[in-house]
Amino acid sequence: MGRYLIRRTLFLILVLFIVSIITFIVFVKMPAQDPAIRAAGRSPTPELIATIRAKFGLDQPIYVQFSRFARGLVPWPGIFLDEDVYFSYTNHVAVKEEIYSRVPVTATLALGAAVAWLAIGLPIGIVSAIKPRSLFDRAGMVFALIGVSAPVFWLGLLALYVFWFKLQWLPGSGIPPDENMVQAVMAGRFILPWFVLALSFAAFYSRMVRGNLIETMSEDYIRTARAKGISENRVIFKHGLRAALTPVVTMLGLDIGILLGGAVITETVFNLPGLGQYAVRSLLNSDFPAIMGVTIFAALFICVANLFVDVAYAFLDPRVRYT
Amino acid sequence: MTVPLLEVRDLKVRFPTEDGVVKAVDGVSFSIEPGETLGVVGESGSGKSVSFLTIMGLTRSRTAIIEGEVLFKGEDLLRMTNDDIQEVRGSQISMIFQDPMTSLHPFYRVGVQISESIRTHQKVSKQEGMEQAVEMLHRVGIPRPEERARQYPHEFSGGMRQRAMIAMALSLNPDLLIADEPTTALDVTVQAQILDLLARLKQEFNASIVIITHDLGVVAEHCDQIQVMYAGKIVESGNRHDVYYDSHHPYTWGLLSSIPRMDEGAVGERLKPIKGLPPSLIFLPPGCAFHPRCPHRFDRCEREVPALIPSDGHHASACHLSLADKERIFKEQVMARS
Amino acid sequence: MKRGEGVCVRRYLQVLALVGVLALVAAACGGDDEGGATGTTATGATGAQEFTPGGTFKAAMLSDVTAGFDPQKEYYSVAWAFYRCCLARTLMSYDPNDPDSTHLVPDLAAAEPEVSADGLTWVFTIKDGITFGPPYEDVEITAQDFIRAFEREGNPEVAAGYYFYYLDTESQGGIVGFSDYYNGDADSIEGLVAVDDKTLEVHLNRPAGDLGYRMAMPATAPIPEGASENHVDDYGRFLVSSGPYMFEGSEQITDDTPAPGYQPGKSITLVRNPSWDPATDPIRKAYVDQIDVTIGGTAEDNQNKVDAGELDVEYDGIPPAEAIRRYSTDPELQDQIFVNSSDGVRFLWMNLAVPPFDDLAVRRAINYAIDRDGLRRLRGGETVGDIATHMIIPSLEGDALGDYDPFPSPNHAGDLEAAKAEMANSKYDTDGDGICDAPECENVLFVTDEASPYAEQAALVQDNLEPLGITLDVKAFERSTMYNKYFNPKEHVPFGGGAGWFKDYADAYTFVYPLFYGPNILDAGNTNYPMLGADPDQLRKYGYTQEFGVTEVPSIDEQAEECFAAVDPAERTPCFAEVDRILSEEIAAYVPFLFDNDVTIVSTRTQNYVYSGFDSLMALDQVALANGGA
Repeated sequence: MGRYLIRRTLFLILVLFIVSIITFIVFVKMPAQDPAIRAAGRSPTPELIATIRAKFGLDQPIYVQFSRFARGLVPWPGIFLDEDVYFSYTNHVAVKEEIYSRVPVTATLALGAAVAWLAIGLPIGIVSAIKPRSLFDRAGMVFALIGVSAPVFWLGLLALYVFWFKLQWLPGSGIPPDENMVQAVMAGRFILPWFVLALSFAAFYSRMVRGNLIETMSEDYIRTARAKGISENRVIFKHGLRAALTPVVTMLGLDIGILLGGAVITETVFNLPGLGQYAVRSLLNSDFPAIMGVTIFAALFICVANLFVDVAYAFLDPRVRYT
Repeated sequence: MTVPLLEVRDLKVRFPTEDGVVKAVDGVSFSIEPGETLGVVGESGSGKSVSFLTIMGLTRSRTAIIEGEVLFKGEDLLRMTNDDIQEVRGSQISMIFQDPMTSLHPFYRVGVQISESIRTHQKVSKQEGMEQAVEMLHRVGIPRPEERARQYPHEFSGGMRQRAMIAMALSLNPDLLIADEPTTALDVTVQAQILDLLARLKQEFNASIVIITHDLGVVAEHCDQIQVMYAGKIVESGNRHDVYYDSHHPYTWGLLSSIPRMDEGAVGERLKPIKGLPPSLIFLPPGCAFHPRCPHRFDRCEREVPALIPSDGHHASACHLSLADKERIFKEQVMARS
Repeated sequence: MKRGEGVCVRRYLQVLALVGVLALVAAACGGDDEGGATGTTATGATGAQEFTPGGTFKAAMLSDVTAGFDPQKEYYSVAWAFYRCCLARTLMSYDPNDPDSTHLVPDLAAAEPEVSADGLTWVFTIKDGITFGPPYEDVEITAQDFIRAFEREGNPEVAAGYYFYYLDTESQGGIVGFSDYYNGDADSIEGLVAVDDKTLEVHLNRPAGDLGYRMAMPATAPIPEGASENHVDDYGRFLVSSGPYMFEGSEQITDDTPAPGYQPGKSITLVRNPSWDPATDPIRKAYVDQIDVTIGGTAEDNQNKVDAGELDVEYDGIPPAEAIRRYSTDPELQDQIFVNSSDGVRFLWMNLAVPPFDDLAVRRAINYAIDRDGLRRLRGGETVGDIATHMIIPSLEGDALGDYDPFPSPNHAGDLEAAKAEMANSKYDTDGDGICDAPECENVLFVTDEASPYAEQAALVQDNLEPLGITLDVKAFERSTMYNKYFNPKEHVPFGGGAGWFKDYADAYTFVYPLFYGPNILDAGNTNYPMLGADPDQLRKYGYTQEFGVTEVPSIDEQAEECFAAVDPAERTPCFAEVDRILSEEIAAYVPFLFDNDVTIVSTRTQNYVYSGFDSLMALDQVALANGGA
């Protein structure tokens, strides 16, 4: 296992490297505008632009420019997303600082939503699997269709309108600057975002659990378990679910990993200052260091989540062994 | 006269499907005495597995139509509540299955699975359950049982897995152990070991055993009673001598003839399979279900379903041929080969 | 500003003065509303405040400021609003309460500057006893601090937004030595002299009557020594205030620690600056104790919050059209909506170097065909502004072109017949039937903003032009991307629909020079989108000659230069008005359609709404909350 981990970590750095190259090429080859011009303000002269280009190192050959960014890829404190290179063209803030200040918001959103979608999706999936083609199962399918089809944007606006504006049961969008995450959660600011974000996942997970569980329940070892005289509930939960949920854990890890890179639409609708909002803003502003920083950071999360899930799988399924 | 441990009366199991009603078990009656080993032989689709799964209450289909009576120690299993039959399963009647690799849960240690069996029916701590599991593994002949109990099924070899299944099935000292194709997934050498094991354990635990198989060779040594099933019915039943040296049904003759022989005279001979295919269980042939494939059929066979008629206390067959004809044909065609 | 009854003071002894005062009061009293209030909602006797100080004013902005609140970099009206009201006092400033928004008053200067006879030397005396905000609360503001601000402005590394306003050049009167300093040829700016702590001398290379305005821009606000030295890129977060408010937590500012009150992209929190002394500042009332601004969200969501009373104002956008309608028509809500001219014009523009727009007849035809009233309706209707019939806003021309309408049509809805008559004169209409039949009129690229209402307006333009035989290929972009395309002459954008232009200060120079003047066509950041006045070299340089065969375009450079040279406003203003007229009729490179209004909706508890003409936004230094926000 130790060797496996080392190999995976090296692979992770390789992936970050490739991601950064691709991002770099995309933005160098297809810029919305020369970033020096952006940074130069309203009426730049050619001299001013030249000065800024030199300052940002934009007058260097491409591979030199890239090497400056590449150094910031190594996930080691002090080196990762170093401040000199990863400095926002538009906000004039170190990208690292922005990202770190926004991670708690996105993490709270992602993890809370994960709890919500598991709490909704798992029971629905399990009951649908136990009673296939029953009324409940069909209702579960309708729920899944709605959950997967309803655009997050629409759902979010609708939720805000009904629960905040009309009923005044829940607070509106945004987080006041003086509230930390705990206070914000206690104030109920995350309830609607969690629900809205969780809905489509819950729908998807309920169908996935249903399918897995139905399949698992037709396995031979379930028949053995019943033959041992075990109660049906125990057969379902200790024998059936134990096997059916293993792939769910894999999906969960990946989904959370991706969400930690920023739940863009949810954060935008509810004006939550997380990574997704930052990514969108940076893209719209063609703020290249910020784009690079956010992309790499998100890639890092996904790779780590991937690794974590793979390792967890070895613990869940004893047949799997890593060397 | 001893009370039969298990008495099955006219068991019928039918499954309605889109294409029609599948008559998986079409009127099966037999009994098992305490301490007896019953062998049930037949091809796939003969109804041999379904009968016993139904007896255990493991036929899952919601739409299955089950008729008849299954008296276990006097009580009708088919009419028991779910809770009651769960009591019976595992502690009084146990079942082991064909493929021990898929029949054991891959994510739990073997010892834990055996222990679970015990703890389902007895109030025993985890520790004690594990100790008993280790003891059972020892009794089925698995070396270093303490180590093995902590391992997962995929770390066992095929034969050992089946031993572990047997250990699990016998852990509560059931009265009846049903083994559904216990050796089919195993090597021939291991087959013999498992069958010997079953025989030994039967003595030690004083249990009755049912061995379900498609292989006549498997039941040859160990079974007191043998039933041959075809198309959901028992076509012949008797003891070892009856079935192997005095059988009275064309299907059984066909099975015996198709056994490959290794002795000098037989080397180089072609195998003799039974001509034709098993019938559809939805659209059974009229009269005797075997008649389309039977070389000895005559007009009565098409019209009338033959009943299982005993020829003496322990031997019965379902065929319209006269007893004299049966004995004659057997001597001429089947025994002649030996 | 309006006054209520009972304001008038009478004195028996001075009957004439009484009459005079009465006459004055009669003129001032009993003003009128036009649909929405244009000023305050209530005042007190002799101007004494009736407003309760206190409370936290809650504002929202859709986007953050554009340069991190760096006063030298920011060229954005919203940032300017914060500087003027709250953070950065300058030598000269504007009083939002003054109905003449071009009227400069001394702010940090003790009095009006003394200008030498030749107009080349301006002397500012600085008020005594004013100190900076924390953490420099013990440092008094001196002349040197202003020079420091100019030096930062002239530092190319800082990439200041409008440093060119201070350059001493051939065509512009600026500070002596500023260009040298900018080019690195000098260590200091020769033309700025701190005679003593309280006296600043400014030497110009040429007389510049508008220097006062340029000394009212936020980049000239004083900076204490040590505050900005190590913050070439990010001074905004370390900003030391000289106004009534400061970023919350400014006392914690060190070289490494920024003020927590400004969270870029997230929020701005302003609290009272303990160093500010109202006695030195007659302009700013600073009723509220704190100003909380959240950044982000959507216009609709923010409007909902204003409706619900959770927000006091949406500061940097225009309310949704539905809200504008609702508030203007509901008598209960009418005192919460304010409409003011924002001194800007919105327009379509055509590239003179790209066919078919190289033909005057086509441009005139288009000017006839466009339904200006429809474009305005899509933006929100009459409330959002007057129909524009020429490019320069009326206030900068002394309203000289009052009723001028070179392309009249009923209700400004367009006149198709007149348009066709013009088109018939075009070389692209070969059979003279008023419909363009040349391939140049097919699938003309129209680059516009993807946000509402620009997208809807594009559809209307398409409808307007189709009967003329001009079909459009509409491509909408995110705003900054659209502007990047406009800014680049090499993009050859033929036809643009998302543009607007607002005055930098009260002189038509700020329209003509950036928008219409040929020599100001820039390689990057170009604001003369139609390539007006481009010479053949420029046309070739940017590829127009090679691609379209265009070798020359119309120009108003000559007329413009005459106006630039005029010093006397009495000459300048009519001169610029004439430029506007020639531009409209004889060049017609633009289709202006709206003189923009700022429309702001505030919450019920907001009081004393005053519009600041300088930045076209609500004055946060004047606003108050009912019951002090209790």
